[in-house]
Amino acid sequence: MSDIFIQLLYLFIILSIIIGIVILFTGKILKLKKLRHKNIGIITYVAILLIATIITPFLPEKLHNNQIKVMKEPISNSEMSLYELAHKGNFSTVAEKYLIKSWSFPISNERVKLTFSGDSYINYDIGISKTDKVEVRYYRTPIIINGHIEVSISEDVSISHVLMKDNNLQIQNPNEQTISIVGMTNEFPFTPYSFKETLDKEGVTEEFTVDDDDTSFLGGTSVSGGDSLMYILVPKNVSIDLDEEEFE
Amino acid sequence: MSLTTVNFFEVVKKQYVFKMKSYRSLFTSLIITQLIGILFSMGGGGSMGIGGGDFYVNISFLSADIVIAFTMLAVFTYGIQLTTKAYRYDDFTFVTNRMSACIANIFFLLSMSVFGAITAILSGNLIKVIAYFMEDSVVDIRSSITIMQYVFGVVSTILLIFLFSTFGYFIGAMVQRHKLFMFVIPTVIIGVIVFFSKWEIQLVVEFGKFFFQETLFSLFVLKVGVTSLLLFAVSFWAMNRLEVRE
Repeated sequence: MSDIFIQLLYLFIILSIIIGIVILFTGKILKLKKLRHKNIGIITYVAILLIATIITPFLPEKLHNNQIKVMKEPISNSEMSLYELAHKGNFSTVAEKYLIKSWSFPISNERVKLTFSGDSYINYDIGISKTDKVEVRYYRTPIIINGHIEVSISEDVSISHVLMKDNNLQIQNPNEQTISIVGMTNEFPFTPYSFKETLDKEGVTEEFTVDDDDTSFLGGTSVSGGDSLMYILVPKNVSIDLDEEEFE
Repeated sequence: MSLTTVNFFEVVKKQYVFKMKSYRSLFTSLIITQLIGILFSMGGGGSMGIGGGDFYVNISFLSADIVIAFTMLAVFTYGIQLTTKAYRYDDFTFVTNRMSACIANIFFLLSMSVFGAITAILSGNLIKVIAYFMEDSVVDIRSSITIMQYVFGVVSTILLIFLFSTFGYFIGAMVQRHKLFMFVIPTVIIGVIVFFSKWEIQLVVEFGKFFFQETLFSLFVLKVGVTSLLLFAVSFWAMNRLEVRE
């Protein structure tokens, strides 16, 4: 359905441009006084801008390969660091909604060796499991733009492989995947009236307001969140062998 | 001797209409400038990146900011252009004086600013439509604004563009008054910026904050209004002392 819509839009825009050019030239060739208007260039330009203005509200969000999801609703505060949160003790209640994937492995030994591999680095922390299994939980906070746009990264993007072999917990981190988004922002004369008010309304911290950065007098866009954490939970009686350097 | 009484405002009106008809090339030039601005805008007006180590999200920002900036530069040059001999001599087609010519020029520059501002703002939608077909992921991250805030934004754009045109007119008038100003004005501007930078006062940033960061609309109108009025007053003084026809 959306493909047909896009094709129709293509057709509409191309036709508008062709019609404009045709009017411009046929006016001269046919010597039609009405068409041979001196302002035709200006009129064509304004017409194209007006057509684009009419089309714009009907353009759906374009999200490549569904790698991201966009929500424009009031969202919870996801500016906190997952790593810091894990240390505060109330991690499970606050961060549970950011759980992307979890793994659970039974263990037959009181020692578990933990190894990481792969090019990218993901923050990790170790906690105590309430079960008798080793649990690995991967959390990821959405990206918050201007305090009111929530961009969630799809579960398919950059997920580690977690394996347990002979009491060796192997976490294979994926290569860092880059997702490019084009964001349409307000023009700078509009920002003094909208940006600060929006930030205040959404409760975004002061550090993002336009006044703090000397060079941001043309307005600005705040981006926060986008944090990820691998939380490893082991039963109380099980100890973990770590590469100390890696752990630091 | 003519028995016809010439009304001052009639003369201004005639001159204004004449300028709007004769200087159509400036509008065409403005459109070409904006089209170049649209082309440059497609490259993005800045970007931000964020990620958790395993993924990285790069957000490029698109808006009509570059088009607005190009429009400001264009009207700045038109302001200078209007003070040149070729354009000034056009005024002698009518029964005129310096005051009527200057007021007609103000209205002409204001008309250009209105046209330039509205088309520049609308070009943001054209940029979005083009980006929609060229980019993989396009997200509208614009802050929601009320109709009143939108009107304020449009009027602010018009006034900012008009401010640049008055600044161009002021420089043009001063240069017409004496060619020496062609060197004096840039030297003074650069000198003052360097002078204040000793005390870590960035004049360009302060200037930007003064006009672009004003959140109170009425105060913004006052700032631009007073600045434009002063620039036009000095321009009028400089032009009024020129010979009628050299």
